[in-house]
Amino acid sequence: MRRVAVTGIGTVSALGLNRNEFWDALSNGRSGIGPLTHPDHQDLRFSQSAEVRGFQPENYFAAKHADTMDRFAQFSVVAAREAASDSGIEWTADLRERTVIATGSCIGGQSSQDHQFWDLYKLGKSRIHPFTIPRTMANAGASHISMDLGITGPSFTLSTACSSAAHAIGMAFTMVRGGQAELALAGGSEAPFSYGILKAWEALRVVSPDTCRPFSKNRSGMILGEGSAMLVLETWDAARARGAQIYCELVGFGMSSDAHHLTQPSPEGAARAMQAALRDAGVHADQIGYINAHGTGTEANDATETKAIQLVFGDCAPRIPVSSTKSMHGHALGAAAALEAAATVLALHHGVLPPTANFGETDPQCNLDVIANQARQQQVEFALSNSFAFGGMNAVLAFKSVA
Amino acid sequence: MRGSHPEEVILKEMSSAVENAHNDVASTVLDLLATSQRLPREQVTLNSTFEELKMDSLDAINLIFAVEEKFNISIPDDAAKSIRTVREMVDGVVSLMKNRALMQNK
Repeated sequence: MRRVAVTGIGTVSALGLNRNEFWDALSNGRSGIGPLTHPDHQDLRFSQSAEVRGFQPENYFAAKHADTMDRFAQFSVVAAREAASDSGIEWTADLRERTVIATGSCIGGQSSQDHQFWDLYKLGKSRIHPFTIPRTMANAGASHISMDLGITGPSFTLSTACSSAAHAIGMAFTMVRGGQAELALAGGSEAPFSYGILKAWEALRVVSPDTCRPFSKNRSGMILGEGSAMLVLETWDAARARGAQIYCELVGFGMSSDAHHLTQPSPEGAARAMQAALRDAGVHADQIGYINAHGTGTEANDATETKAIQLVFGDCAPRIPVSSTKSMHGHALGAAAALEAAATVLALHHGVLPPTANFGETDPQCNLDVIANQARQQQVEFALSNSFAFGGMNAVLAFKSVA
Repeated sequence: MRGSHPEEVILKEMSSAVENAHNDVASTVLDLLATSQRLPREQVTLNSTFEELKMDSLDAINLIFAVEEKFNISIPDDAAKSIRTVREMVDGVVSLMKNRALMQNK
């Protein structure tokens, strides 16, 4: 099987409109969480969010083109353009045909649908806009990327709630590794800030009234986020041959199902996904030097994820640096795993482990080496990025440093 | 009530009205509990705990939603997290309804 290199990164998030702003915020422990800007925010029990601020579609798309796209699809194209440009890839017709696009999204363009259905149900209109379906479909992100970059190879979209992007990156990885594709643009995108979707999250009672404090004793829930991240994956040999900048190597992918509960996490299920990723990578637990946790900041997730890490790493567990970057870019649902994979890749590249922002008092139930509030200058060899979704669908990516 | 001090009468009437209202709320909550959890009505009592009824966190927010809809109240997240028994739910609803009545009379 072929080795797979990460050679390009693009991000749009609450931390900024590009990769450099993203890493600058992460490495300085600066959170992008702020006041929710939705006009009806006073009707909600929460008031904070990790929104992409200052994103002007006209800076990226002709107005007529932008009209056909939900915000989530716009994010995905902007991130894909940045990743492709970052990789310095020179497109040929042959390479375009041998490139896979794999995107993850939890809700796709449901924000567009929500607005249109308002007209129908609330305003009593009898027709809604003909772009409703093409804007809403969850594969619109992948579709727009393929049209924008002229990529004619396989493309698909996976929807596994909060693990969506990890499944997308993982499947693209196995295709490049196995020879089904030479190159991949893989990641996720999400834009969930419409009234109906905000109300649906409010009803679940998992959103914090103030901020996201993963693994802290006083954690009070998650903060919704939005954005997109895309990675360029290609074979190690091709990347070396063309003298590309290699951020790190993607060495393993593990998946599991909890077979337990729709919304409650399971330590055993999460542990099985981490073990599968280690097995796939051919790496021992004691070689892992950093875990970018799922770390939503809810009572249940963080305690369960701690148990899962303890199950997998045993005596080593308290010594592995762990952080949840959701404390800074929020929980971007189907894009979360892509933003976190990008954070993990950049951590290995720079030799800097991003912190868990807003960290307060240690919780005995989360007895881990949580990197609190300040980044650590530390070059590690192997890192995991954890994603555990509603529905009990877990996906874990394993990366190896080039250094 | 002959011979009673008028204030006592009013207080008695008030407390009896409150008690009746409390019983009505309790009975409605038990109905909602039975319906939302698909349990036989006779199986649920004021003393039932969510744990005994094998209700998990998702079941609890499902019941809370039904109660909010029925009584037109809004149960805060903190309270929703701490409710573990049917009695706590009924007491919580009564207290929220009292608060609402006070607010409306102001």
